[in-house]
Amino acid sequence: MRGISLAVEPGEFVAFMGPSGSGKSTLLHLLGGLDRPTSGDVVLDGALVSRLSDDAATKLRREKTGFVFQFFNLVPLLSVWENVALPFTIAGEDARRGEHAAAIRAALASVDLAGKERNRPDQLSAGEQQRVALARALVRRPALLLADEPTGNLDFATGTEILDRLWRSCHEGGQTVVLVTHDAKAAAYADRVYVLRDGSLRDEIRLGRREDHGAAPLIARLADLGL
Amino acid sequence: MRALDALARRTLVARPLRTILTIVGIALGVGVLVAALVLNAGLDAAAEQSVRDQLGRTDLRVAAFEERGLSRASLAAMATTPGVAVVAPELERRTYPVPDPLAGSGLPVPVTVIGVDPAADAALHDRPLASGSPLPAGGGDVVLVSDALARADGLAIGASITLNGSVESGPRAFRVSGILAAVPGDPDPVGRSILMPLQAAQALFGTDAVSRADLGLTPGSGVAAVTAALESRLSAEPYTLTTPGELIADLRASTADFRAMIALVAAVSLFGGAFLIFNTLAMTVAERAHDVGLLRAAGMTRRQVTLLVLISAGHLGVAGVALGWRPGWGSPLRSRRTCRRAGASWRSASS
Repeated sequence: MRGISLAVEPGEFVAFMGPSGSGKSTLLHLLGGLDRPTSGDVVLDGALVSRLSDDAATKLRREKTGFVFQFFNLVPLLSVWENVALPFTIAGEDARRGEHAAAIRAALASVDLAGKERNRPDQLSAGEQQRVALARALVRRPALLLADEPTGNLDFATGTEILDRLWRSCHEGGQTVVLVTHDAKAAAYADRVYVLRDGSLRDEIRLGRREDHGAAPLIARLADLGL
Repeated sequence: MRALDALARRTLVARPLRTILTIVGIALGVGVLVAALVLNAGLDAAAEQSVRDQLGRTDLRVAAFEERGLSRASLAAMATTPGVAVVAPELERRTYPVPDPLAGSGLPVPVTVIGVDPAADAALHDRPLASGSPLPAGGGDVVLVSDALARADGLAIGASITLNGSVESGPRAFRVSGILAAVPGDPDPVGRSILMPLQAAQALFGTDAVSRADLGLTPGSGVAAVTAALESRLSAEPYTLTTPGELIADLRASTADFRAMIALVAAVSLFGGAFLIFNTLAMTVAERAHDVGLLRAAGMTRRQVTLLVLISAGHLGVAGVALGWRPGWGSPLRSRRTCRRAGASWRSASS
């Protein structure tokens, strides 16, 4: 990544687009503290993520972020309930405790997976698995949701469900969403779209908060930019 | 910690065949390791017990270096050495019993004859009887036979046994006055021993010498001082002078190579077990790299990831040890009889 300077406001929905190898996922990993920049800083809610110790960065990630990836989103050995409970169990908290259990149930209900708590990931469809991953990302109500191609492996209808849920988290829940995608229809949910190429920010497209997630305005702007 | 433990268990259960094979491999390694350690400890203990059985309360043993044995003059010199309280001479020979002409034509099995001075012998050695009466202090043509010999040859109290002696004295008949209890310490490799008065044994084998003399020291006498005194007084024939500690050390030294080999086998087993754990965990970590990445993204620290792997290793190790230690512990104990025989052979060799 080179020369990138940007700020994402709380409650904002931001998307990063670009071709493969443009640095979208790397940028997401830097924002989440999974990777460290060789120079420059990443600030999350006032904390310099890039300068924290590994343990401190991990703690910050655990408390303030939720990740959704395209593949390998669930631990195959664990049930749906256990996968969603992971952020609690990793933190050494008892996920069967009242408030945590209620949060898990609510997260599963919000992605329409109530009743599938005991299922294993291999007993679920790809869409259901991604919804479980989303429930896990949401369960602690983190301030920042980081989604890396969350719909890349899904059919259109299931992908739309996932994006709708992310948008509701942002619009109704006040959570910040950073989405990485190469799909204009997914990026059209965002308030702002950044276009990346060769590790640099090429353009910023402001779409504003819209109930209608039609991709036409974004596609037109991308066409104007010759993308 | 509990959550990590549960996840570690799940990881192992997810690959049951690999986990079972690893545990079995570790169990085999642990079994061999424990067996080797127990065997080595058993050999040490057997060496010590063997010497204790053989020497009883003896403080020093003077053994003839040559076949002609120790003369009466040497025994007299020992008895008059300051610090020596008891001199218990023994004459040991191997011979064949004369077969009963009515009892078939089988080849006779050799026996070990020990001639002892009954009074002095009782001061240093415990020779419990299963039945019958001990050797009379005044001598005579009576013998005590070992329990194994009595059973094998059908000898009862009052029975007669004829033993081949020297060419000059020829065979002589003895009456069985007692049967020795079956206890460790039999000088014969297979337990076929006969105890008789020293004079009778000397008459049977046509000698007035003895094979060895066990010495009991007066309380407060130093072994080193008595040894020095004996060395200055015994000059009639060559001899060896040993303490029980030296005999134990000799026996242990005689098995040093064997025990070193056993230790090597144990070390290889230990390495094999460790390698199995490492291999299994390396494969598991490689397979679960994406899971680990996911757990890291969800907030698991590097230390927790390391702990997860170590807990898995711990489970494999504990299961392997639990499965392997008992057979490893039991197998040398089951072969204790063999060890005892080995002990008997050592006794024969050392005397």
